[in-house]
Amino acid sequence: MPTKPIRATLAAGAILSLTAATALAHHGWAWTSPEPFVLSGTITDVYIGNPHATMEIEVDGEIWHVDLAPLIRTLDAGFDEEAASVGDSVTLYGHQSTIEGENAMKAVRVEVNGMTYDVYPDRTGPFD
Amino acid sequence: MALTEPAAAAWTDDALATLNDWSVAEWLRRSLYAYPIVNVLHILGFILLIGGIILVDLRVLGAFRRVPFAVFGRIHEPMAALGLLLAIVAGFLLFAVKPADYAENVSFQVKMVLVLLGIVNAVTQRFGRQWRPAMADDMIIPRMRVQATLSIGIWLSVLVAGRFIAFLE
Repeated sequence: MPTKPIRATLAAGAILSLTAATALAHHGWAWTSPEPFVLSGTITDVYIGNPHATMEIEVDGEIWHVDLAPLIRTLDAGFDEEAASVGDSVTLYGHQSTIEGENAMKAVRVEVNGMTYDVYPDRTGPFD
Repeated sequence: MALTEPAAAAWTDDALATLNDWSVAEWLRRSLYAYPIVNVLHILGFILLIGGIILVDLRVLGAFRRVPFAVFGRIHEPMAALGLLLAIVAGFLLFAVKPADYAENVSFQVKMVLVLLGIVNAVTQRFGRQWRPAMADDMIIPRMRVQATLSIGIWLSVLVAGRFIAFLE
């Protein structure tokens, strides 16, 4: 390295990059428990869009946040705006968040209005 | 909504709701390929921005000393500015897809503040009195070095903050 300022800057940059707070990683599967998890409730919100579909459901007076799949996968499973509405009863199969006290899960299968939607078909094994 | 909610908050809520209902936002929300492509454009924008600006900053700090500063000022600096513009346009479109959600995402808020600081720092560097002697005679004054260090720190932090948005959703 030619000069001190450069070395200092690069060191600072490295430190900066490494001070990653333990992110509440609602991205990928790392934040979920590998144990199969089933949850039933009433839909309070449905979002079929980018970056990925989500749902909010009410279970025993508490609101749960549900991550579905990215849009392409969600629609491929047949789960579109017609599939579910606010107020519908739904059963979700997936994996729960490992974060203490957080009501969140990632769903691989959605059962609603008499239909079953496998948004992550390669991950529905434990529930079949 | 509480009766005591400040007027400012109500105004921004309305603005975000209007943006959310924008037909282009609606289209991106439901598009299979356009949304990912806009993502790519955002990434391309900040690739050009960060790639360009870091080289300029490193030159100011003394790297590549045998290459005249003017090379960096004439090539990398304008490319970085172009990249920033692309990143902002694409970024705005991405934001429009879920404006209320992103607006309350802490990482997004931090990123916006940093982008603003980065722009102010860059503009004062580029249009300050120290630019011309640097371009003409390779004369780099100490203040330029301070700003170059700030620049690297700020834009790398923007990169981190931007990536973390998805991880805090």
